[in-house]
This record gives sequence, structure tokens and C-alpha cells, in this order.
Amino acid sequence: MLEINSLNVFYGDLQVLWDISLKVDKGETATLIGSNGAGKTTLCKTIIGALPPKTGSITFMGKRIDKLSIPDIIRLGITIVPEGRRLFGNMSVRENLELGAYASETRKKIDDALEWVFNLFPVLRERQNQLAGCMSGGEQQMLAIARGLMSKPKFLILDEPSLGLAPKIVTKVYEVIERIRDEGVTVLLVEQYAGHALENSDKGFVLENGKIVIEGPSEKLLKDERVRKAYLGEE
Amino acid sequence: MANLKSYYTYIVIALALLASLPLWVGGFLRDALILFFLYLAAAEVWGFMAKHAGIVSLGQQVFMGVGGYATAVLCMYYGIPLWASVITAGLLGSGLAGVLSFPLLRLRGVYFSIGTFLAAEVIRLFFNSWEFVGAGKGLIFKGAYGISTTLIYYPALALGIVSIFSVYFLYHSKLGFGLRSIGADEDAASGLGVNTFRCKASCFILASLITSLVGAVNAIHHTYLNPTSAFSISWTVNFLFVAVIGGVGTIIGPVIGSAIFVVLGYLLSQYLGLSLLLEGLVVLAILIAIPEGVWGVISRKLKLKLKQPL
Amino acid sequence: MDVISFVNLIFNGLLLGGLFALTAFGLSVFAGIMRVINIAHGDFAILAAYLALSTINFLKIDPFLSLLIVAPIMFVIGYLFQKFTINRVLPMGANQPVLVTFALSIVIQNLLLLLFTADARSLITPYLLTNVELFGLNPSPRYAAGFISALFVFAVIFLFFKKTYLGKAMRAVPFDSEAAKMIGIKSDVVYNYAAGLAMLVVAIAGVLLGITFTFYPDTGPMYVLLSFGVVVMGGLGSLKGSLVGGFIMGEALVLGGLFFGSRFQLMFCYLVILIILYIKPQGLFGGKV
Repeated sequence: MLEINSLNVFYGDLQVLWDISLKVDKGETATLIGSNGAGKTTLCKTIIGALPPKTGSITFMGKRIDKLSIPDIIRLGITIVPEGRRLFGNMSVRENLELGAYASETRKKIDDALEWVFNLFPVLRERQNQLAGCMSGGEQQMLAIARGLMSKPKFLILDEPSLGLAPKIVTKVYEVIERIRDEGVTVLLVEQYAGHALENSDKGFVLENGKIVIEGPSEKLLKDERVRKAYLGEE
Repeated sequence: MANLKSYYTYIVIALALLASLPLWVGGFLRDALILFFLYLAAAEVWGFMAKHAGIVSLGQQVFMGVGGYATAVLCMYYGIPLWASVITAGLLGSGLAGVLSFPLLRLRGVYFSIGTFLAAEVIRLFFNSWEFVGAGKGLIFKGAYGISTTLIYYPALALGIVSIFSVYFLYHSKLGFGLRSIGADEDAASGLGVNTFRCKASCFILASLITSLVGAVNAIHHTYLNPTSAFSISWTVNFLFVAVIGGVGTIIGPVIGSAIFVVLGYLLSQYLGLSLLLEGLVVLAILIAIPEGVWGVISRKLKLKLKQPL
Repeated sequence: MDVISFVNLIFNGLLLGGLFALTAFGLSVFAGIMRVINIAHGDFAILAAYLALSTINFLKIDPFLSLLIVAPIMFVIGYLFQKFTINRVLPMGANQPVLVTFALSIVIQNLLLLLFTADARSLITPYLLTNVELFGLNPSPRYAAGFISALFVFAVIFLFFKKTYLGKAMRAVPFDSEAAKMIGIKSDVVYNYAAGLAMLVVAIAGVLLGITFTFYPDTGPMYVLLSFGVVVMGGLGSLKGSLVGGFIMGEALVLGGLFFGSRFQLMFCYLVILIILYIKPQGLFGGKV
């Protein structure tokens, strides 16, 4: 579904991603692992269209998207749930959700989309008129994911969904991610701590200093020595 | 100082040349030179404040007016000798700046700018109703009658030179370093222990001293003061024009800018209404398209790597 | 001064305050969304008044009706101004927009001077010059028109921000423009429409100001200073705050006139603003500095 070929990305004159190539098939769940500064968020930004690559290509469902604008890419079916949630704290839960559909077709049938999302996240239905800034970390993450779903994406990127959350909440978040996969959405998980992500995905890529150094089925990666040492918190 | 020593001879020769100008230059050009140096002096400090300390003053007219009025009043009402009045007026102007620092310098960014404009308007309205200085009718500065342009030229030249040296030394001083850190990121600077209020106030007071002196000399040159023209926003517009068109924050920029300003002023003297309009349009164009100003473009094209803040 | 006259004064101050609030709405919308205080704000209002004047002279219609032409023109002016001027200088540092809006203020004033001369102007509405009596008070009809317009505009803008997609985007972008970008909102485009909206409101305020007071090409700065005062009192970006700030400013003006005479009422208002800036720079009701 998503194919990235020989991608090179620069911030001005500084190269941050080298020769990235990866593939995610329809219905799969993939994990991108890397520590701080490895380039995970940069890659996400490039996919979604916020950063144009210098060379290389990104293809989505057969179509080249590396030169398209963010709204166009969202309309084609890719949405990102940004790192750190980035909700609009001055607006209500419902308004945040409505804005999730801003760039997509679902804007016209907003009530259907809201229904779907409220069914997936009942707690948000309860709190729909509450200010987004006044919720707990876990609830905010739910809202951020829900906002991402409002554009009815075919491909959802989750940038560090477990960041700053207590383990119990992380489990809940991953339960939600599983339900999203059941709905047929292809998911790319981007994480620093790889445990949950690898357990819940089909394949993984390890990004170090802007290059993909390890890739393969998630089961294999879970057993890989290098991965265990660096990203699974083992000694 | 090391970088200056090598240029000492050149500077001395240039100064001697400038000082001798009135001897071999006609009256008309002398007027132009007076304007040139006065605007240069005021624009240099305005530009320094704006670019390096991050404070954009839209109220410089306050000091022009106060400098002018104080000189006239001290000279005519209190019999103080003319040039002593000028110096005193300068000090009074900087005193006013000190007082204004308290309400104004706690404001950030555009709030400060509007604050300076507000203060200028309050003072203008006040002078407009103050019978002691002739209120709206203004004041004829008889004490300045008969002062030749040659005699006015030297203070103007001196102010221009002092202003340039002030900016240069201020930039390289500890105070200047503090100011530049404030201009870059005020919160970070204060977090590092810079006394932001004291730094900004010192800069503001110094700039106002020079501007007040400019206002004083200007009043002697024109021999007539009224609140509308003495406290007119066009002073700030002109200083802004000179600084921006030349290259705001540089030393050579306003030199170019002031030259352009004086020349344009003479070319457009027939079309009085147009000059401010033209200034505004040119400033807009420069701010949007060539923000580094004429000098910035020249030094970039010539690949000059001059030491800051030239 | 007897009680009735005093109450009359206070009442008219409140009505006048509505007009000041209306004038400040445009500044508040602009600053709340773009985070730029438009120093040329007052000049745009006066520009609208002159546009109305030309429209009225050309088409011989009522000043309020002229808004049907003036308002769309001002919307377009705002849109283009944002697109080609402010958007270009926003990335250049916080002080660049200050210089730009200041230069624009000078340009507008002198352009108006060139086109319309320095004569005093007014938008004539004879039906608002009558004497009205209400419960023993004499409300000024023109002040009342400004007051009612303020409430109307307030309601419309409030609903716009609450109910429409564009309005919600305009609230989201200043809060977190990166996040807005990630979900497909183009902040530049939002800013363009926001500026257009702000100028639309300014147009309404400008026409009402032209109806209520005489104006000259250089009347603009007075209105931006007063609007700034209103916005500072009410808190930047808060419409409700601007209403309250407007009322306070209106009262300050009339009371200033009462205690210090008409020559000093403007100066009094400016001093009040300076004092408030000194005591509470973030506004009487909070807000972002």
C-alpha cells in the first residue's frame, strides 16, 4: 500500500534521512523503531507531506505522493496522529474531532464519522463538550487517535502513542489500536520503546541515525539481540 | 579597539575633511549636510535599538520635540547661553526617557512600540494646550536668530560622529552584549542573569540623549517650534526610512539612507504631500523584498565580510 | 451637574463604548489569530469611511447601505494585504510586522490626504440627528446605532467562530499551528480569510465612526490607540473582553470630558491606557501579552 524508495531528506543543507526504503502492505501493521533523533518523526513528516524529500519517492496505492500537499495526502487516505498528541486545548473534544475531518471528504458527513468514533471511544462521547486541555493523558491520547480517525484514513501513522503514559493506559491504547486494525485500517506505529509495538505488529524497521539498519517480521525482531538491547530495555 | 587602530589614520583624515567642509561648500549644500548628519545621528541609534536590542520605538518625536522646546525655553525664558541650553535639553530629554522607561520597558514587542506612540501623543496633546510654551500657536526661537549655518553644521557633524561611535562601542561593550542577547531571546537572557530592564533602559536613555540633542540643534536651525511639527510622527517615519532603507542595525546603512533621504527630499520639495507617501511605500517594499536594505545588498554582492555592526 | 444629566452622560458613555468595542473587534480578531497588532488598524477604518463617502457621493445612497459595497471591498483588501504583506514578513521576526503595519499606516494616511484633501468629512444620516427621549434620558441616536451594531457584529462573529469550519480553524491555528498543519489546515490560507474577516468588521466600524464623528485623513492613529486600549483592557483575542473594554473606554472618554474638558478627554483616555499597561500589561481580564 505504502512504498518508500531510496528516500533522502534534508533540513536545509543537513541530511537527516539516508536512502530509506520500506514497504507496508494493505491491512498490515508495521512498526518503526528508533531512539530520539534517529529520524522517526522526520520520516513521518515526509510521508504526510510536511517535508519534501530531496530525492527518492513515496508511493501510496500506486500513486506518487512525495510532491503533494498535506491536505491532498490526507484526502488520498493517509493521516498522522502527531507525537505528543498536539490537541487544541482551547477547544472542546467534539470540536477537536470535527477539525480532524477538516481536510477530508468526511466533512460533509460529519455526524456519521462522529458516531463511528464515539462507538470506538465511548469515553469521548461522554466528554464531548469538555475542553480538550482538561483531560487526562490517556484520554487525550484517545482523543488524538480519534481525531486522526475522523478523516476515515486507509493508512494511519501513530507517532509515539505510548509517550508519557502509564503502562496500564498504554495497554488500553493498544487495545484501541487493535480495534482500528480490525476495522481494516493499515497502521504504522512509530515508537521508541518497542515492546508493545512489536507484539502488535506484523513487521518492523529499526531506524538509527537516519538509516534503516534492521528490518524483518516482528517476531524475529523481538528475538533479535541488538533490538532487545537498545529498544526493549534489556541489559 | 584593535580593529580600529589600523584605521586610525583614515578616520582622522576623514574627520578633518568633514570638518573643513563648510569652508569650501555653498550655503545650500551646508543645509543639506546639516540635515544629513542630524538624520544620520537619530537613525543610527533608532536602528541599533530596533535591530539589536529588539525595541522598536515609534515615539522618537517626543525627544525631538522636548529637545527643541527645552532649548528654546531655557535660552529665552531663563537666559541660559544657547549651547549650554542645548546640552541641558539633551539631558532633560534623556531624563524623560528614564522616567518613561518605567511604564514602557516592561512591555514587550509591539506593546512597547504602541506605548511609545501613546506617550508621544500624550505629550504632544499636552504641549498643544500649554500656554507657557505658546500652546498651539508655537514658539518663535528668537534666541537662535543670526546663528550661521556654519555654526550649526559643527554640532550636527559632531552628533553624527558621536552617534556612530556610540553605536559601535555600545555594540562591543558588555551592555551591548546584554542587549543583543535580549534582542535574540529576552526570556533566555533574563534567565542567564541579564538585568533586562537596566540594559534596555540604558540603551533607550542613550538613544534619547542623542535624539534630544538632534531635536535641539534642529530647533536652532529652524527657529520656530509648534507642537504639531515638533512632535510629529513624521520624525519617526523619517528616521525609520533612513535606517530601513540603508540597512537597519548597521552603521554604514543609515549613512547611505540619510544621503538618499536628503537627496530625495530636495527632489520632491515641490510635491510636499508626496514625500511621506513615497517614504512609506519605499519602506514597505524594502521590508518585504529587501529587508537587509541597500547596504545589505551591496555588502552581499561585493562579498564583503565586515566586522559587526558595520 | 444634576443627577439626570449625570446618568445621561453615563448612559451615553456606555452606548459610545459599544462603538469603541466594535472598532476594537477588528483589531482583536486580527491580533488573536495572526498574533500581530495591526498598527494601521485605525487607518483602515478611516479608509472604509472614505470609501463609503465616495460610494455615497457616487450612488447617492444611505451610508448604511454603502456598506454593501464597502464591506466586500475591505474584505478583499484585508485578504490581499495579509497574503502579500503580512504573510511574507511573519517569518522575519516579531518586529518586522510592527514596521510593516506602521509603514502601511503612513501610506494610507498620506494616500487619503492626496485623494481627498485635508478637509473635514462626515457621513450624513439626518434621521440619526434627531433628539430622542427615553425614560427621561437623551440617548444619542448615533451612539445607539454604534452600540446596536456592536452587539450584532459580536453575535455574528461569535457564531462564526463557534459553528463554521473556517471559524474553528481560525481558533485552532493560533493555538498550535504545527498541529493544525498536520491535520491538513493551511495556516496561510486561514490567515488570509481571517484578515479579510477582520477588515470586514473594520469596515462596519469605520462607517459607523464616520457617521458619528467627523474624520480627516489622519484620524486613524487615534482609533488604533483607543482600540488598542480596549483590547488591552479586555485581553487579547477575547471578544467578550473587547466589549467590556469598550464600555470602560467609552465611560473614560465621557468622564474625562466631564472632569477635564473636551480639550483633555483624549489625553485622559491615553493616560488611562498607559496606566493600565503599567499595572497589568496582560489586560484587566488576562490574555496573552
